[in-house]
Amino acid sequence: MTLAIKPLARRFAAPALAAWLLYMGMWTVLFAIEQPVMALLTQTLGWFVDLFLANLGMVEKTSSSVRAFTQNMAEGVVLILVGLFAGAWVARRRR
Amino acid sequence: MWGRATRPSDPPLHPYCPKTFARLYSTSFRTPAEVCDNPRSSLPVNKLREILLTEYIGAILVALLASEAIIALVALLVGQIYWHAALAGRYHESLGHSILTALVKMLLYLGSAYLLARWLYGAKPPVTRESTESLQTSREV
Repeated sequence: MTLAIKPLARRFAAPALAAWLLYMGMWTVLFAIEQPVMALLTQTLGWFVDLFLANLGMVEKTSSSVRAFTQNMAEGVVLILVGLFAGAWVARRRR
Repeated sequence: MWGRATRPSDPPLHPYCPKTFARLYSTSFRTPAEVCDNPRSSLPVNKLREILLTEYIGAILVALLASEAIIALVALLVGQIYWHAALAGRYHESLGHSILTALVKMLLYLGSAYLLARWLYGAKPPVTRESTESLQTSREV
């Protein structure tokens, strides 16, 4: 059995590239969201443990900066837009 | 909050959406809005949906996001097993922190994958007047 690589690659290279760009953009946006969420959770949990359950030990607290958040969000949005442009090009080519 | 919904008997508010499912009125923002029932219309959201439904782009994206959640789970399990088996007692590692990180990651990735899949593939086909009429005639026959 032979697998026709060339036609498969020709058909799916552009959609896969668009999907990959969208995925990288989503990943960056979710990474940007994850940092403040983790900071909020660990700070809240740390405060709770410090106040009520001090014998459990310390909770490792994380922090997040607005600058890093905005930069990550901007990078993610740019990647998503590039992915959408690639997807729009694929959709137009298909028509 | 959305205050009231009216039947789309009046001409549509949006020029790109000739078929509207319902007309809503936001009491919070005091603006009218329409729910478009025409997936082929050129509203921006429908355009995005059309792009993502082209050549499995949305399906690949959903699969990649779900795989990232699985990777986070496997990384957590492997990290914990390795720490308990090989490195236990040598240095302090916050167990709760790594579990919390993995859980937040998984929640974000799975949530976005689910919402994306639901938006792309979960919508019911629009009920048009022609289809309901054909359904009625087939019942009569």
